[in-house]
Amino acid sequence: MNELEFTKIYEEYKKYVSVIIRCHIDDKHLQDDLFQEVWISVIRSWHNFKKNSKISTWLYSVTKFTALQYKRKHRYIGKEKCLGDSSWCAGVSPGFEDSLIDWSVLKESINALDDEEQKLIFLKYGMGYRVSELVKELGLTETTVKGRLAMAKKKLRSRLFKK
Amino acid sequence: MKNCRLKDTIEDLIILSQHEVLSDDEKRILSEHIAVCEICAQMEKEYIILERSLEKSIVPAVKFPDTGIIFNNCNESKGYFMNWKKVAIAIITIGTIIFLTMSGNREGKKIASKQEKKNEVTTGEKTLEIKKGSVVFDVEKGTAYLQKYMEIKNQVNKRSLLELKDSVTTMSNSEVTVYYSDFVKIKMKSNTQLQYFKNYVHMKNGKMNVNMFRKGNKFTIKTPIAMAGILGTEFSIAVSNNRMKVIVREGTVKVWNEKGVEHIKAGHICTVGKGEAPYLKKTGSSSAIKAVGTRNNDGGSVSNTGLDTLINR
Repeated sequence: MNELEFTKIYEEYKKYVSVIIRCHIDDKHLQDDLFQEVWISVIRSWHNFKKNSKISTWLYSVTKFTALQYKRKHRYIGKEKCLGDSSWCAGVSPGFEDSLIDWSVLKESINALDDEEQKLIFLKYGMGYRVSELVKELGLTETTVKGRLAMAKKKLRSRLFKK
Repeated sequence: MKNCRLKDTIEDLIILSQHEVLSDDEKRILSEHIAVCEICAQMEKEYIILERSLEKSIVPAVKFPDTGIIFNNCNESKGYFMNWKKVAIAIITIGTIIFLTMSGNREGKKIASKQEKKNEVTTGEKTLEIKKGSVVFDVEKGTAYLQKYMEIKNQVNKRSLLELKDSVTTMSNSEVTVYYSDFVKIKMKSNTQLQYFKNYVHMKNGKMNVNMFRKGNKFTIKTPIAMAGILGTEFSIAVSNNRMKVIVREGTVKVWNEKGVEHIKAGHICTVGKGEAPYLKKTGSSSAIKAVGTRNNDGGSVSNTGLDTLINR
């Protein structure tokens, strides 16, 4: 992999990789460290990528695998640090317009989704892709993309707002 | 209102409304329903919170370094790795040299001679005793291969011990005698494959003669077509082209598969095709039995040509 090729992929998918990392590790310094490690392993294992799948799919696998390996290596135990309201619970408060789901709770729910659904969520919300762009990126039909997104959202809602 | 009949449809519409623009009719239905239904209104609020949380929370939190930094780091770590690789190769090389010089010493020679003696005991020509419970085989003629369980095939020329799940294969013009414990003697003919299991042997193909010295022991031969359990003393078995033939010279043999059971007495032949019930043929112990029943001097074996005629019949 030459530097030009790497730069192209890096510029396109850096947000995507960082979002996946954020779902696995809370510590900011460790996130930076892991981010570099993921891209290093991308450079090293580029020759193994047979281009049978889309780059986003391959990057997702590499990132997830490197993150898990990194966690095991550093004996990392997730800190359940609440970024927003720590007392997030079921139900919606009257002033719901301002309320946000706590990141640690949301992250846990996203991690419980299937790989395909996680990929969609990261691409849609991490990279800001529209449905038409998701169709192009994942090589799926529009109906499949919409169906999977709907299913992912339903699963998230049932986990987050379970009474 | 405790439940809503249109809950699923409204849920789909709410999700759709977050991805794309709904038609005027859909918008109207959604707004009209939400105005009157508390459950769906609550659901809409939940989806709005979820959508906003996803949009605001899933954001990159890393300072993106330049590609040059990552490339340099990759090269550095590669160099570090390469150095360690060189060191590891050097250590392995030195270790091998030391080991080779050590093995040239007297102690090494002693160990080697001990090992050779040990091998002689286990594979020496007819030095192994046929004990009760052990399975031993002799290569009488030609070439035979012993395949230990989960290992590669090895050619064997001398008497060897057969352990559980080991298999013996004879080549063309070869003959092997298997002593199963102290009560069964099996003469394997050419191109026969046999695997040893507890209480039975599995014969994949070929021909063999079975001779039981002592009555009252349980012994079964399994083939891909049917099973043959020895109740008597002496019989021959052949498997080829999805057909199995059993000829009994003395005593009784039970042949069975999922289709049926047959007890074959002396002088009778049993034929089994794949997926068929055993078929008993009464020969009256005349020419057919004589043809295969030509015994050699050692007692158990019969002539190979006789077996061939039996199979081809």
